[in-house]
Amino acid sequence: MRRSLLALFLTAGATAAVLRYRTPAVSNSAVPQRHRSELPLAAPGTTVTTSTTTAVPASTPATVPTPTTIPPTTRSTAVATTATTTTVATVVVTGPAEPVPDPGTSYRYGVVQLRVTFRGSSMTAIDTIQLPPDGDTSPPSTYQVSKSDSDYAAPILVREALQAQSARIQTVSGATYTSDAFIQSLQAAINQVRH
Amino acid sequence: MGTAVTFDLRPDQGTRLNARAAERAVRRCTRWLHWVDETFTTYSEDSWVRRLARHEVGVAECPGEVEDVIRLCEEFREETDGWFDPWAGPAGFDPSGLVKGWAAQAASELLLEAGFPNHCVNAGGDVAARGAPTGESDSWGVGIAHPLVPRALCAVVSASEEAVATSGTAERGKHVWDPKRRRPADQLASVTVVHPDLTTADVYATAAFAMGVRAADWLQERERTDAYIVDSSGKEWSSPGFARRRTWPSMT
Repeated sequence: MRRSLLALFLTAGATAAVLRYRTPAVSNSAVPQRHRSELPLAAPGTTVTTSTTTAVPASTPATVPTPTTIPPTTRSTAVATTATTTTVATVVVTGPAEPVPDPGTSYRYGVVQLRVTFRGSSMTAIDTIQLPPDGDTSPPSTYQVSKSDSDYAAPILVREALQAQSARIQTVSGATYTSDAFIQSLQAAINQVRH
Repeated sequence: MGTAVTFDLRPDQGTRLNARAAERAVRRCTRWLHWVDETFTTYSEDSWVRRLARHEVGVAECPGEVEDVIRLCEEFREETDGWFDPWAGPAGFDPSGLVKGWAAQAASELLLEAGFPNHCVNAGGDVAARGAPTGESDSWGVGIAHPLVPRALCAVVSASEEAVATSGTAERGKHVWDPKRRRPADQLASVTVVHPDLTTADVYATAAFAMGVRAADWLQERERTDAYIVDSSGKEWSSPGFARRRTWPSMT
């Protein structure tokens, strides 16, 4: 059961750094507007050279951006190059969250920052640093992949899962112990999309 | 329990739901769940369970359900070789790892008795599903919360007459106690168990989570059990049965 890693995307308002690959098989650029890009995977034995660049986003509207979608994970290929470097690149990804129950404030976004490490011939780590939304004081979580070809649990945001599944999700089983906003918010998101 | 519980009742195919009967049934379930909470909560020093733990009362003086729960805890402690051990926590006897699923399973049975064979009860992430969401699909679609990425799922499975329980770190951090190493369990991020009975699914998920990396082997030996694990690095593992009932991501 092999599936490629999580697809990344950049949205308007993304900060700091942008991931750019210079492999012929992939044309991938950071665009300040809503944009979908995929993280190409280095198949074992191939080499990917990366660089880190900084993009200044275009002025973003004051209104809250509409959610972007995560495309289904796909396998991509990289063409071998001769460069072997250890490079760290940083990507900032913003995804849609459940709506805040305040009329007029629309959506609240969680910001996910990814740090990708390449060493020689393979991607050795993707560290996801989840920044909590405003007002949430819980510490950020890290999510690390140890090998580029390992099977790991690809996340999909609830809204996208519902769209992909044509509303065939009625409930969510989660690791929650007491009453909390997490399952409720997932359940609310499900109810919202279904109605 | 302080747990949010959702009831989703569906009519038989081709009929309309009797809304009043449904509300009555759900109210009955709610009364049951409140009673369970009062009786078994470890957050109130006046609950039967806390009084029992302080030896202020004996089991014989407690409601019969307390003895039932204790007996179940003993049986599961033995079956899990001590990996599920409500007596091992730092604060004394705490059957919460079993009570939530057990109470929701009983609620599901109340709904069946009340004439609702198509329903789904979700008690804080423990799911008891019966029949199907008529009109929508021929089985319930149960999303599995991603333990490491908030507001995301990591899988969707179909369940018809099964329960789905997930144990892990997604919301409250490392709260599952490893009774053998005597510290919070931290090798895994989540364990999901599918089993016909929610009490069992709940206990298996809790025990497996405490076990850590040996959980996959132990779960494969359990009967009528499908399982899914995400470890603390994000790697996933599915039993063959879980993979067969998984509807997302679709396997290529």
